[in-house]
Amino acid sequence: MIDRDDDALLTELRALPTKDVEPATAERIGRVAAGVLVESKADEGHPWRAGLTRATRALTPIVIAGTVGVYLAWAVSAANALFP
Amino acid sequence: MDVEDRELVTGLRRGDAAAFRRAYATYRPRVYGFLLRLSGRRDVADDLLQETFLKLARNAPSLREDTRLVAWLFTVARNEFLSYRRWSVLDITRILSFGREQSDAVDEGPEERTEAQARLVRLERALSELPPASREVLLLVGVEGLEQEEAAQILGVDYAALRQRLSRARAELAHRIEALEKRGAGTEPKRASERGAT
Repeated sequence: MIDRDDDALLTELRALPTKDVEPATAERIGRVAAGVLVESKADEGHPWRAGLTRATRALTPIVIAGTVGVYLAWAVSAANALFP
Repeated sequence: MDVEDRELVTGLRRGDAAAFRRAYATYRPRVYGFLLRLSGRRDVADDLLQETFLKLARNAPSLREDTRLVAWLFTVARNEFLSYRRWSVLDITRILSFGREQSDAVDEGPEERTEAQARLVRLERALSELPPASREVLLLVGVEGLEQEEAAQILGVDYAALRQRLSRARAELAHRIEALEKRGAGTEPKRASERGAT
């Protein structure tokens, strides 16, 4: 077991240089996230709106996957009908 | 929890844009460095950083008053990374580049280095070669200097397990540094092919 205070290797890790994202990317991410903050603040007084947003976010992939599944099933049955 | 953190959380709970900007400026480099060293890829770290701060923006009004922002952000960032790793199994570009991957976190720097710089390059390279489970504990406790209890909370393990994991990771890191030192990595001038690739 080791203690951080007296471990030279962990102290050396602290000296590794800081990494930061490219300024343009940092600015873009900050702008997008600030926009989301405004939306979530607007949703705060309207629980139904926040619920709707959450439901939409959860349902979208399910609807897409369902549509793809139905289409594939139709495509396979159509191919089977053409080439029995 | 320090006063500045408490003020930030209070501001975030109110949906205050200035508090969000301050939190973003304060924690972005730390979270990004963690993600870059964890994933080894700048593009991935960019995406995961965005997801982390989008989650902060979405959840800001529902943060608890006593939230430790740094722990909250690192927990979300780590979960985003784990989620990325699960999906990356299906990433064809990653499969095709298998064996040719080189961590973006390792910045080779100038050809002529002082011994201290060479040691840092070796350390960074050794860290990038560790398995993610070892790397994450060293990043949180070593690089970020978080308290071990806090790191345990972020990793979802108890304190004793954290200490064990840290001890093992540290030994692995020391072993890899030694191996790199034997190979002379970090001190030799870069080959022309390496220079062309960077």
